[in-house]
Amino acid sequence: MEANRTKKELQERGKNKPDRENAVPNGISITEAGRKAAEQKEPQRTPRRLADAAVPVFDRKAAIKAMEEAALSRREENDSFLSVCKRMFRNNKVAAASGVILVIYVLMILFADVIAPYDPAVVNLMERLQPPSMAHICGTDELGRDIFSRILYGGRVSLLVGLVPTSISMVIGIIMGLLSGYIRGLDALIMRLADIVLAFPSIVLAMVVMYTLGASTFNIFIALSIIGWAGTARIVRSQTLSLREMGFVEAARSMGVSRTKIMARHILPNCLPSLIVLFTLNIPDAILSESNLSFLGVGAQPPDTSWGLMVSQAKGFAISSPWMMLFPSLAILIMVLSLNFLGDGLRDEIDPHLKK
Amino acid sequence: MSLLEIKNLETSFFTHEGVVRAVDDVTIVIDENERVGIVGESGCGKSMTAMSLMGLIKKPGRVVSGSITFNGKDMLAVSQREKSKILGNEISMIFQEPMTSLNPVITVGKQVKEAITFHQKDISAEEAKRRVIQLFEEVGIPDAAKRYSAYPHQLSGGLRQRVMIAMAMACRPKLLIADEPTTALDVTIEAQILQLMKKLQDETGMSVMMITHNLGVVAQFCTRMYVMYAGRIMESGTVSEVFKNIAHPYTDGLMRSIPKLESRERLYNIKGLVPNMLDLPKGCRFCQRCEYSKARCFEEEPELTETAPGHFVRCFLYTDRADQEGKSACPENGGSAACSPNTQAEGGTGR
Repeated sequence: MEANRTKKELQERGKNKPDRENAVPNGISITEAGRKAAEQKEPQRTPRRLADAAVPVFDRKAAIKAMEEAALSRREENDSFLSVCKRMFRNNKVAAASGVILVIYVLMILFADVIAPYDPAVVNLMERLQPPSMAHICGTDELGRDIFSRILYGGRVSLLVGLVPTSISMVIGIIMGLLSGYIRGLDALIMRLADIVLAFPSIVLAMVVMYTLGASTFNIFIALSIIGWAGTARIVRSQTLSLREMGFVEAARSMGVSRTKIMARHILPNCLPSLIVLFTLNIPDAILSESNLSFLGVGAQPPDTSWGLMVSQAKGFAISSPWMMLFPSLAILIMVLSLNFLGDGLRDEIDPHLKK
Repeated sequence: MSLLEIKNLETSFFTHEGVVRAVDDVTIVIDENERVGIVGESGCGKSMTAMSLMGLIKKPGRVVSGSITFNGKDMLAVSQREKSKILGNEISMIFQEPMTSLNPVITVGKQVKEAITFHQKDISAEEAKRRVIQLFEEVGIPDAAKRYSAYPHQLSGGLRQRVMIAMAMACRPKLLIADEPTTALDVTIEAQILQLMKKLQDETGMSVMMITHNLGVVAQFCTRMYVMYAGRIMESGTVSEVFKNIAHPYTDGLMRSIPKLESRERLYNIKGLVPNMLDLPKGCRFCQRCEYSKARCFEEEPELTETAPGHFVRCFLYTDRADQEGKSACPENGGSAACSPNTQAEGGTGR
């Protein structure tokens, strides 16, 4: 009995369905039917309205058309790097200020020849360990060299060492991480490689590279790139592992999209926010690693200098002549902070969830 | 000629604990311009059947045997390049979760556009964009032009599912696989989406394979249906025939577990759980939960038997009946409680 009734009900429900569907306007016809209905109604309504008061007639069709045209003509690639930067400068004052500071930094360092008041390498023992004054705005070091000039020249090494190996190691790390996270066959191999790199104290590994290749700025790049990629690779891999199970990756696979394209187009952009943060964190790391190498005598070679080297040389004078350590440290601090704010600003800007 | 022929498909997962036959000896035929429903509980192999067809089975799973012929092509033997031409172009798929099926960092318009340009290299960017907006309008996205540059999170679930449908429809596929397309949506949106798919199906003459656990969706949308349980097809036939003469106890259980307004009785539920796929019963896979199971059900597995033209059932109630005479079975001679005690005493139902 029960079952019979059930079946009857179901049949009836099945029969009733079409009527109800016709009665209830569905999603498509809400817009289409609505538009049509509005278009049909328009002629009836407009005269009355016109008679009431000369209200300008709302041309619905034209409005829709205009909107579509506008959307079509809107530049589609509004996510280019330049436009992102532009938007960020408009919206985020801190990031904008950081950007300006960084530009000033780079300019000062590039034009060190012009700006520097003294030759950074000239020793003047008469004026050793001078506190900051009008003549030496940042003071002098234990050999009487002008610290401000040395910061400007040392910035060349530090900036390069901060940016170049970090970029190289990030690129290697991203590729390795994507491959190891997405192509399971490569996972073990790449991760064991990363383990080997991470298992050594990084400074020892870098020293091995530096001693075998010889001390030069270019070799510092190589050494720091070799020790830097493993951390990035791990982070990218872990993100890839979770992203590859997401619906949109499966959807892309169901459309026949190739693995390379899925990695580049779907997984990498979703990793970007953490990569930007990682980048800004890696730069000071590289600068400090370089100073360690310099301290051990395989980094920047005198008469060249770098910020890290200056800080570590000032160790012995930290109490008696604090400016020796203060100013190079400030130089590092301001650069790192600016990069950090800039990175945060960029990340917020490319995050679609924060877009209006 | 039929558009899609899945014959004796077996897809297994080789796990550490043993072999799981997620899809076991499944035969599904879909003709052109047909809406076919595949019904079953969670984990019964519905989605895996579709995934096998798309070649998306991930390790440790693999298609062990059987054949899949789509439009005259053997989908299991076709090369990777050929396959990427077919997928998204001739077969496309709508997923259950519209929330995660779109890439959160790319605008929806661009994602649909990529679906078009991926398969039609010669189309210009401008033209593709126009097509996308047209598609958005077709699937009933209001302000289509404006929505083009929206990110997925800015759209509601219903709109996102419409975007997914637009993407699936982008290349006018011959076969659309909809994997529980309305499960994550609320009921009003569900009706709209089904309407929309029906309309698109009418207009384009494509076939739809609707994977669902909702018999209401099947009743409303499909013309033919397959009921799956634990990797096997239990019942199949046209929707009107199956709904009129529910044959398999499992289908009957599904029907009776739909809440009804008139009845104040406790809602029926099928006792027990889907059997562990690692440890399937020796006989009929439904035997432990079946109210009508007999000793024989625990020993051997019934074959699919035709009870009426085009109506196939995998149950001894009918294979035996076929030997005797008539067709009417236990579910017909009186509902839930009436006939179960005898059979229970006879067969010893599991829990």
